[in-house]
Amino acid sequence: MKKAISGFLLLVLAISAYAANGKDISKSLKLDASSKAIKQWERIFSTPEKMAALGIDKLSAADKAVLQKYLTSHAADSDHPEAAGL
Amino acid sequence: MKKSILLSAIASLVVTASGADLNVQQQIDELKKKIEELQSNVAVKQNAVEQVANTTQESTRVSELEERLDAIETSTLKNKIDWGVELRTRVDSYKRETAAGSKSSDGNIWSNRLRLNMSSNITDDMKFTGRLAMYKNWADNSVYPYSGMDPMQGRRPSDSSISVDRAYVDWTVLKGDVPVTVTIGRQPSSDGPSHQFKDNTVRKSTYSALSFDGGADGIVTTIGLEKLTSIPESALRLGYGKGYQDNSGASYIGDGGIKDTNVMGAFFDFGLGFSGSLVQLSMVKATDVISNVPGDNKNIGDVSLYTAMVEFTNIADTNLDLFAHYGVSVSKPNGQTSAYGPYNMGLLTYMPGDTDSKTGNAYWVGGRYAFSSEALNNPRIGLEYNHGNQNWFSFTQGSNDVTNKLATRGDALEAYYIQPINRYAYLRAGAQFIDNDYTGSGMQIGTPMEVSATDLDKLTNYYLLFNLNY
Repeated sequence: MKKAISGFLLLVLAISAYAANGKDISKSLKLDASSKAIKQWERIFSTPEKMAALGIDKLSAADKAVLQKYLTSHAADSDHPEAAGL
Repeated sequence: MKKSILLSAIASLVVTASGADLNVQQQIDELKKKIEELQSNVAVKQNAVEQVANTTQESTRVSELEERLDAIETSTLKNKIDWGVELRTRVDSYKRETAAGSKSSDGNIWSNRLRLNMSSNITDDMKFTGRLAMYKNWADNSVYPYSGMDPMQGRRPSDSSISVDRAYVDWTVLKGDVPVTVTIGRQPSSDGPSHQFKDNTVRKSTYSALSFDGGADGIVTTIGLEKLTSIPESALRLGYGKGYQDNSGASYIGDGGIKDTNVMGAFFDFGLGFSGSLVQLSMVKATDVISNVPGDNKNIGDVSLYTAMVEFTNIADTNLDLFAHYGVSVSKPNGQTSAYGPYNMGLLTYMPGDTDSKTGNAYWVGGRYAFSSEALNNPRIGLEYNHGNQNWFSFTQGSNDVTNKLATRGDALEAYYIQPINRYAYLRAGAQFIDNDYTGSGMQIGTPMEVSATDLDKLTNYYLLFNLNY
């Protein structure tokens, strides 16, 4: 049982280490997800000029998708996590 | 002679005439030049006039826009609270079976739950969050029998009155490398990890739902440790609250005789370095827990809870979420019991004078998978299982669903399917199978006994719900 759990955790860590991370991409582009509403982010991702202005156009299609998902799911009007001090 | 004079005169006339032509041409050229210069000047002036006119128009437009923005800003600043709405309508079909095999059922119980969510960024270092809740069965406006129990306010079907499910202020007292935030008020202590998967939402509480679920008043201090320890998303939370407060509205100084139930807890959260991971280690101690027996309420002992949990959301973008929780409860009766009919109700005991500690444990594991189907709005399926042993006891009386399955002294299995309708609404169909091994699941009083005769053995619930969260 312990071996199975350890193996699973290692697998998760290994897979995740290679996975693109919307939060990191957002940080690298200095984008603040909560600065805009969901619809505003969607508008940006559907307008090449706006993407270019924010540096999003240089990303791969996969990274773009991951970033859009992150930004819309953390947008100003998104469902926010709640816990003491968050 | 005459002839030469004539020729000379003619030549003189020709020369004179050609000289006059030259002067006229020069004058014409000069005039043309002047006209061109004048035309150029006029064009320049016209441009300048147009520019001035344009600038004036733009300035007017900017002023108008500023006025409009001011009006919007004023309106926004006056709207001090942002509101959100949650509405859930569900139908449940229950089947009960006693240990002796007697069966009963109610296949058609409908309920409505309304939640009005509030949030407000007061200043850079202070924000307010709240939730008002109404939860009732259809065509029934009776007050819930245990409505006096604080954790259940707004979390069990009652009448159509509104309860305050949560209302707290997060105040960042210290900024910098080790930020300190104090959370004051009715806490975010319900529907905690990992209920968010089934509820198709994000984390909604501080605590692992295996050990604590329900409304609670208190103060929690959160110390951000990420920069100090380099452990990603690490934070230590220290909490203080009350499970019972001996205060009488009549005397203001309490009824006397019963001590307050004080609750203190420490919670250490951290991530594993990748998005969507959460680990929490916690310990909670409640001293002088009360029996809550009508007419003979007493302090009956102390309860300590130790919990470890780990959860992964959307592991490496595979659409898979997984979680595991493990809890240990140590109940230490103080020998006191409350009379309830023929029974003496102590902390997990029927024996007056019993002060032996009773250790229980439980675990809860589960997962959810989202199918990548744009046509079906990415539906999800989930499976959860939990098991508690004989002496398992937790503070989940205001649980996520009415069956309080995580308090089960036995086994509980739940499977569900979530069909998103749009970004904000979904349908969920599910089934719960609860198999009690011991009596009194979720109760702090009485010895947990093997189920027998008329004791509830198996509870099955099939449900369908509609949920809107906007």
